[in-house]
Amino acid sequence: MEENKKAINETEAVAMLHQFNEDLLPKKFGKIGKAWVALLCAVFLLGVYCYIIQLRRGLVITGMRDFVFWGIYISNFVFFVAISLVGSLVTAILYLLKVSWRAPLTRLSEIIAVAAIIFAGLIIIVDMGRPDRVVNMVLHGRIQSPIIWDVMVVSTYMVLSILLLYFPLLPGISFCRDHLKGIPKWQKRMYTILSLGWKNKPEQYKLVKKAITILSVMIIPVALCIHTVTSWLFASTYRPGWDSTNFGAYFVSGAFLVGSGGVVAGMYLLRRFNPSYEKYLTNTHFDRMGKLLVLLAVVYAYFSINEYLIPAYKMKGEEAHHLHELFTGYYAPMFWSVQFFGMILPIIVLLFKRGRRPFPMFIMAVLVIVCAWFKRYLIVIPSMSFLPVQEIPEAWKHYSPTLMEWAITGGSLAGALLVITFFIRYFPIISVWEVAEEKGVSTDIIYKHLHEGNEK
Amino acid sequence: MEEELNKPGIKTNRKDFLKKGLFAGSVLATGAVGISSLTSCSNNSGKKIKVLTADGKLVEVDSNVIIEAHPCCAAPAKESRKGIPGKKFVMVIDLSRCKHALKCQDACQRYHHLSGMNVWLKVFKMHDAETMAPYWMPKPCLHCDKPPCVKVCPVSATYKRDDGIVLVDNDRCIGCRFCMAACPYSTRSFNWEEPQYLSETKGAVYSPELGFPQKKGTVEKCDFCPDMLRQGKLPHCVTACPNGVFYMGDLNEDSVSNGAETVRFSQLMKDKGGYRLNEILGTEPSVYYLPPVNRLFPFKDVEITKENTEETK
Amino acid sequence: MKAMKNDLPYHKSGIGYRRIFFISIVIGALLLINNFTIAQDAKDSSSLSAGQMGKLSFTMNLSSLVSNGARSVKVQVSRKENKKTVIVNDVRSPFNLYLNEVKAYDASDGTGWIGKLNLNYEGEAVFVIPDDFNKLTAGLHEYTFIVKMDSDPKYEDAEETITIADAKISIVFSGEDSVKSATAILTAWKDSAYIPVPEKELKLCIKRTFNFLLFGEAGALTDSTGQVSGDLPMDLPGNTDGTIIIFGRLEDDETYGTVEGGISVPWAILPKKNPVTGRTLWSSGDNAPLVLVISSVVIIAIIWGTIFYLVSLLIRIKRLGKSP
Repeated sequence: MEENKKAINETEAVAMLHQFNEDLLPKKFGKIGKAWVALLCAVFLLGVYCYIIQLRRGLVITGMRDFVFWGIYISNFVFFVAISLVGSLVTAILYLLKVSWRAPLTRLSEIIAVAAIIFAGLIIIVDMGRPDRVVNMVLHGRIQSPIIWDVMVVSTYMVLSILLLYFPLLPGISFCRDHLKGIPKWQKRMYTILSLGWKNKPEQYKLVKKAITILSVMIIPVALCIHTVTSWLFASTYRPGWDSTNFGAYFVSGAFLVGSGGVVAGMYLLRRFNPSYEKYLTNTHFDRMGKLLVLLAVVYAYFSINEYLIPAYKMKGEEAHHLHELFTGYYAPMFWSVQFFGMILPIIVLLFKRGRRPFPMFIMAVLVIVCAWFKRYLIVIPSMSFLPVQEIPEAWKHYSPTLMEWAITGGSLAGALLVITFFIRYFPIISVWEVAEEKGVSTDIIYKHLHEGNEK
Repeated sequence: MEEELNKPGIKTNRKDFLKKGLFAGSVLATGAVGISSLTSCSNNSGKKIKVLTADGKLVEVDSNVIIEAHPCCAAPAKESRKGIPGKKFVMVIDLSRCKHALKCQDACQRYHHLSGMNVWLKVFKMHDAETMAPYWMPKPCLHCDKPPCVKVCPVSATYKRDDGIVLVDNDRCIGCRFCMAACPYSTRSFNWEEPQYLSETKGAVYSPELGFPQKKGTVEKCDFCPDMLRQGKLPHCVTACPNGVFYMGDLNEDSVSNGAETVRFSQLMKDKGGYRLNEILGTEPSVYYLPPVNRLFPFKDVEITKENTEETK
Repeated sequence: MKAMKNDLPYHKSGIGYRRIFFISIVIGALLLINNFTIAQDAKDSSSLSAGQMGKLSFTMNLSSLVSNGARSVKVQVSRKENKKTVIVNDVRSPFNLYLNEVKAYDASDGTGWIGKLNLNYEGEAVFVIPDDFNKLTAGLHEYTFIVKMDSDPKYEDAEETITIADAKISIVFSGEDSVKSATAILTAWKDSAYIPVPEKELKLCIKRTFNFLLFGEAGALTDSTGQVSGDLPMDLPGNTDGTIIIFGRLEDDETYGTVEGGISVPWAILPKKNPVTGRTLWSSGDNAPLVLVISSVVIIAIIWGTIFYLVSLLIRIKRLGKSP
């Protein structure tokens, strides 16, 4: 490999760099892009509107009541936290393992992570009965409470993710600053500020690489923490289905699966709407990601079996109620479809080489994501649905989210997608210098020529 | 000798009042009067003040003559975190006497101005297996000594006091509902909307010891009526029960009372085989149950009349 | 004047409220002066004036307590509704208490109008008579308390009287160290001295937080010397100084009302103390377990220290960009 890389001569390499730069400069929205943004904005604003109503009238506008007091806000929070884990997987774990094909995927997974973790923080505030008192967490915080751990670890992860997104982005921003023509003033200004006066100096690259290495090491334990601590919000209670020592590992494995699904879906959509990415996000990338997905799904299946089979063997009082509802009762259709479409079917399809082509991969990835969302619903809600059910109105026994609740939740998902979309619009979604390095262009050539642009 | 009981050393100082109130009030609480109000009388002998008399004249009288009402007995938020010194409150619920009269619940709802759906004290029909005999089980907050709800609160809005009571400060609660998730006994309820009876409690000064006025977006639960305890009075559910199901008392002085009778707690446990709910969880509740043996009433399955309610078990 | 609101005890007083209060007292007083008997028997509808039409009537129940010489009078208000007794707590007008006769306060002997109260939320008003007042009226040996309520917008005027004869209870002790016996003696004022009262059910009580624990024989009647005796339980936790209060109690007597008399004695065992909770998972934030505090501080310091280092790298990158 090393030999091969060195074989690329300078002129070839420079031409390659110029080509990369041309291909990977952010492009303006096309018709579909504009429609997509408009749609997301509409959904997001609807969510904001409904949240204002919720602020006025209280959480009574949701389907939650004393009996089922956590609903899709919380399951959506868990979903966001889960999907944000992918940033650490692709960027950090694959980086440290020196996996050769990861470079074009890093930035995509990192922006997914950042968008998801931001909206995880927001949706948890949406769920609070008194968002006006959020400052109490600082004023009167109790270190004994898992919520405080979660707040600390989520904010730490958010900062680390943003840094891990930002450091490798510096050359890209400065390139946009210097080479994007006909852009509005504010955009130019934004690039100037964000590029921190990047001059493509080898010393600067050294610092960036150092930072990436530190971040990659540090973000892995923090990433495991965010989802483990999130699982502890449930596992630290006595409720059936939550009272589990397996919960941390179960959550983390599920999170890696859904995050990878998110990256695959993102890859496919990028290629679909910008064919020039096809050179960088190749079928090989899909193939490799497919294999990774199978591995992650199998690991997830393993923890799922642990999670359900052993309690089902014991069938302890309340636990039995819970499992009956999931396996054969009210939640059975959702439970089995989620298990099948979100785990078993992807494993089967992706085991075949033909299944790892982009389009089937995309379908599988979407299935994984959608099922993962509903899986979190099944983790959060049924555990509250069948403790002693007396003296409460019939309507409280089964939770079904209200339209407002859906709108707010949908708004948060749209918001996260908007962040990703706008990022793609204004920043290079594939890191040129990392891809070039991976393709064997020597660092000296990169430092020297990366910034030249492709003006002819 | 007579001075012993009565040497009031009365001051208008609030702290002193609280102490004295407990001391004196508890002496004779079930008699005609709670003596606690004695202590609220000022003692500035010789001071003349003007009052309006029944015949419509303004007259000057000695200030001692004027009789004051009870001041509010709930401590303010900060003080309410400490608890009543030296006390360790326990409740005993005698299941053999409960016939689902729901007077306890009515009184609780009324005195705490609770709206229909926020029920602090529930009475469950317990019928765990076909082969067992059904019975009624009132369930307030169990005020655990190792409260899981308090463990998880991120902001100390719910707290355990030295006297055993677990309270909620709805001026601090952020409404995350984690305590509701953590409570294995499902005793907590949430104000999903603006509380209904705001007009009734308008102008009331909130204290965690009162539990009202309720606030939208906060958690609430049974509080053992600490404002009553401060006056040496029994909680509302205890006094409202026509059958003496509830006993309340101080574990440190080994006595509990249901209003009609006062018994030694240890003797009651020994004679009737008291137990606590879900001991296996290690939460160490402050509420003890006496098993439904030698029942006062035959079990009569009443249809729970409350609107929209229904039982499944 | 001192506020005398007993409406909802936890409520702040309102100014408008007080004005209504005054007016109603004035009107009520006028009515009373003109026709004293109007309110005498509120249940007798034939004697009602026009102003009383359409109002509800209630039952006022008076009870008296004398506890070691301290007097109080409790008013409990209830009424029948569909054959059920319900508490009345929404009487807006105050209840006035008079001693011996309905007149203005007489500072020389303490008779006449001595106070007014509003009902509390539990439908009660408790007149606690101050100590100094008790001294003033010590010469009296029969007390007639009259409670009047008038001019309420919802309820008919009402008046109730209770007459209490003077009685007191004292306690004496006998016995060895291990066995203590207490004797309560009930005496009542007759002619010119307190003489023993026989054949009354006298309870021997130990003060507890909410109520009293009985000891001795249940339902014992006083003998010809007015005495009832019982053995004290010696293993009962008392106050923190090892004392307990022991008293005799005559309950709801027709002649004497409720009478109590007692003394504090040093024969209790010490009460259990609440264990020191220390640093636990269920303590407040500043009382968290040290392990938790230290480990979280260390972890946060390491991670955020690194984050600040990374930010410093950003600054260095910027500086490098500026230098030629």
